[in-house]
Amino acid sequence: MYLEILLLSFQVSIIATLMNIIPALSVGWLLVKRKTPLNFVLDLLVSLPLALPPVIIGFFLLIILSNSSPLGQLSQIIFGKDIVFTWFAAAIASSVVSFPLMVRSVMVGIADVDVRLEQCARILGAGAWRVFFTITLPLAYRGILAGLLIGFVRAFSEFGATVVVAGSISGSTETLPVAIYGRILTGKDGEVFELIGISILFAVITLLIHNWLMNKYNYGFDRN
Amino acid sequence: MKFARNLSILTVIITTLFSITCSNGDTDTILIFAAASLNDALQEIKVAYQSEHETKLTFSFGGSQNLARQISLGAKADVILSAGSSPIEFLDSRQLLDGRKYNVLTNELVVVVRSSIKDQINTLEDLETSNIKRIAIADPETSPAGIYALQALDNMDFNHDLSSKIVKGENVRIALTYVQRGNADAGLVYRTDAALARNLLVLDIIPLNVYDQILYIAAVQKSSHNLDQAIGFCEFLLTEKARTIFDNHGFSFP
Repeated sequence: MYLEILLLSFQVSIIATLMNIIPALSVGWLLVKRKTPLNFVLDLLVSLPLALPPVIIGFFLLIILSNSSPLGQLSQIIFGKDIVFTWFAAAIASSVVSFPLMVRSVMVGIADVDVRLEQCARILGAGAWRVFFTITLPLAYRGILAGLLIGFVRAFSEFGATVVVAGSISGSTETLPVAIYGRILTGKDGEVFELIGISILFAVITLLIHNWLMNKYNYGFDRN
Repeated sequence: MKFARNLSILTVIITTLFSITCSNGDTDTILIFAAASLNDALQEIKVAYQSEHETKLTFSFGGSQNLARQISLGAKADVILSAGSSPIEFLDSRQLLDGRKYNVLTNELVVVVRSSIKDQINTLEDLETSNIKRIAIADPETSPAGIYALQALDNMDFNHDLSSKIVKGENVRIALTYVQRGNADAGLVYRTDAALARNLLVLDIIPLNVYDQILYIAAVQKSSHNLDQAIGFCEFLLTEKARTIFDNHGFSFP
């Protein structure tokens, strides 16, 4: 039973993280490399989910994705399926909430890349895309990976938005935090403690990997 | 290269995850939205039902009002098993239900107190005494248990207003844990939930005529893709086999 909950949590948070990769890289790069007046607005928009209570995000998503909304109907036409109260709704909620953390980590990674290396590449004739893929991305690699990991951790622990837009359906939207909440509501304290144990174990493992990546990243930087 | 290798490992993990979670296809599974107070009984019903049928059961438990609202927002439940009729009426008014309704169970309200104060409570009027500082009930906004509890308290003609003593839990189980942990001195909860709390004293002191009959109603959602199985499950709830299980959990029948 716990295996099903765990696998679902992994599925939701991995898909949430994957959906965020390209937007987080683009937005992170824009915010670091292109100083335009619009950056202020973009930064605010990106960070908003971090500052708002997740339940508000859940409510907005419920409106945006509901079956009567354009997006909900588009999904009906293309996939013949609803979005709200499915595991995919949980993944969308997790991705929105974890996005700001990912962008922030990606920005640190990109900002730490020596600008002179990128300029050299440009002078030697490489286009902007080539510089990004051959210089910026490989050098910011560990910062980006740490961003993916911290985003994944946040997605894994997402509760407030998820429970509003996806409910608590066992086997399809009952992720680890939702399962814990349901068991608190029904007074099953024993199961609550077991699930908390699993959560702590998972959190410690991923945070250790994250810290290891960040340390490695710093060593790599010192050597340059 | 490293990036590419990591990416391919990730792809393998994801495809494995998908094949595991998606393999239990939708055709043979019915999804049941059920009142929180039915949680333990339905876990046993599930075992009994699946031993006889090919169809698998999945549950989502919660306050009945809340579950009905999720269905009205597009949640694809095949069956809703509600405590009280108002969530069913709510869904009916939105034309979301197939016509059939099944009166599955009844329940009763009891007072629970911690055993340390058992000598001080003999009648419902004793709730007025200063020994009882807090009375836990379920929140009437999310759970029918709270509506029935308020109804009972309103109809009892107390000398003083008890509303300042009332604390509301999100559902009946939460109200029960308030009393169990000593955060409230007494609680008005369903008999079936009270039976789960071994350290509490259950007092049968609420007259049946001060609140509406507590009826658990099952209904099938009109848009269900598994209409036959959903109806089959509702009918199974009325069989002798299912009733034995419900009886063991303290439910009565209409």
